[in-house]
Amino acid sequence: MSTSPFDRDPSTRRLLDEDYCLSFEGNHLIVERVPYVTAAKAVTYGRLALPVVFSGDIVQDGSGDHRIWFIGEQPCDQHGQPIPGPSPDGHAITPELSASFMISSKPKNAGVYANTYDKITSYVRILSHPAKALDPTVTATLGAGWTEVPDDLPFVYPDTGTARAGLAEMNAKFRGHRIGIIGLGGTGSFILDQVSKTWVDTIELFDGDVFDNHNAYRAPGAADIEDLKLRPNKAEHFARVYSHMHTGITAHPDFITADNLELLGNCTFVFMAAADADDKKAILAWLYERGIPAIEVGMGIRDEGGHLSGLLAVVNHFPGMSDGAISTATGRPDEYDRNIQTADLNCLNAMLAVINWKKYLTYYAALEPVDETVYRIFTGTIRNGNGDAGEDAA
Amino acid sequence: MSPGNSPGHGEHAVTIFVNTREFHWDKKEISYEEVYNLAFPNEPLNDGDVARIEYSRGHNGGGAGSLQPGGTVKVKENMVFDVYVTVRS
Repeated sequence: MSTSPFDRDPSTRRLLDEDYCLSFEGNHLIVERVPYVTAAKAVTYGRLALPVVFSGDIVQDGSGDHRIWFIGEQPCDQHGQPIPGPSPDGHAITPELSASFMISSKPKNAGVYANTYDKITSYVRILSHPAKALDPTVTATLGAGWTEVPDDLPFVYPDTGTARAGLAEMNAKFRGHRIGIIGLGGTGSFILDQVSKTWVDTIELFDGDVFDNHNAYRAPGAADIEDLKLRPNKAEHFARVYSHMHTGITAHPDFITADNLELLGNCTFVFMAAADADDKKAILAWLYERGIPAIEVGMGIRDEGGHLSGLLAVVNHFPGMSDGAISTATGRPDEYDRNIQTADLNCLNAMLAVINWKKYLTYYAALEPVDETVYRIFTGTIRNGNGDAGEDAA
Repeated sequence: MSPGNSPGHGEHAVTIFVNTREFHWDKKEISYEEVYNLAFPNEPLNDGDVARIEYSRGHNGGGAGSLQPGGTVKVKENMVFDVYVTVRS
């Protein structure tokens, strides 16, 4: 494990020195071959798993969380009675591997384990004592072993958020997807902010525009003045910033028009967030013909005599969906249009779009398919679905 | 209440809100085009442009929905309409 971040972790070293067999998979440290007793009073082996906390690529020893997860049957005492502590709890470690029990046992004195070594050895004792009572020769320390299963995720540093929440199985729904984002303005940049934190394979950014100060005031994060002075292309700017985290981002410093639609050909899903694309209808039609699902976003905001009001719209174009919703392509900025946008409303519109995308992937539950989501500033209401569904007034 | 905004002074006029502003309306129904003209009397839509019209606090238990071009909806006291062209992002 010469190149592993666990090299420098004292608890991992000590467990290996004492002949524990360990592996690292799905951002969980796994103790292989922990003896325990089943309800049938049989001595067998299970596995303990705990999410690893990283600071960058440095393993943090001891997370303050006293819980651990167990892969095996209901652990019992030597009489076959369930021992106190474990409770049934599905916790995904990888899309293929789940723990079936969560075990909670706080150390008697401090209430927290000082480090991962103390935590693991304590839980091994709890599980293996009954096994040793039945068979004194069993042990969890059969010989040191270390296996590190690479997660092949498109990230620069470990996604421990998924491990802590046990969402590996759920997040697998993003694998294999290649996302296109057309337009990296206020809304598109916030869409990227969220998509870059998912397990999608690649993200392609399309924008021919320059990133200036006014864009910085509608974008996630805080742009550096030195970056602004260089007048970067929007797609290239955001690709550089978000490549700090996601490894699959490509910038195309071009506007998508009817003449270069083939650039979208690799995408499995497209977010249309370009305000000024004259060819919006042609782009959407091209995607629809190829069965590539898309979501378009658009807002209209006006100064209504001292306060702003307006609508935010998300229009879904999914295969099999009828074309009933009003597209954001059915209108052009005119002489009266001051192009009012605010970062919070750009962000909300982007989040409504991202949530609709995640519903399409079945990541989030959805009562029924909807072709549009509309937020109204004045009433504060969100309407989902086409036409005159009367029940959504909140 | 601003009588100047009223298209009529019938006995059964109701107050409706269009883009946050109060209007009097004395017909039982209102059309897509009529709502649009209340919101933007000086800004006719260009060919092919469609404004989005959302309403709520309507009939049938506070009915809400979107009004499509050519469509009409029954009006009710304090009904609320939002009319915007949603092209920006």
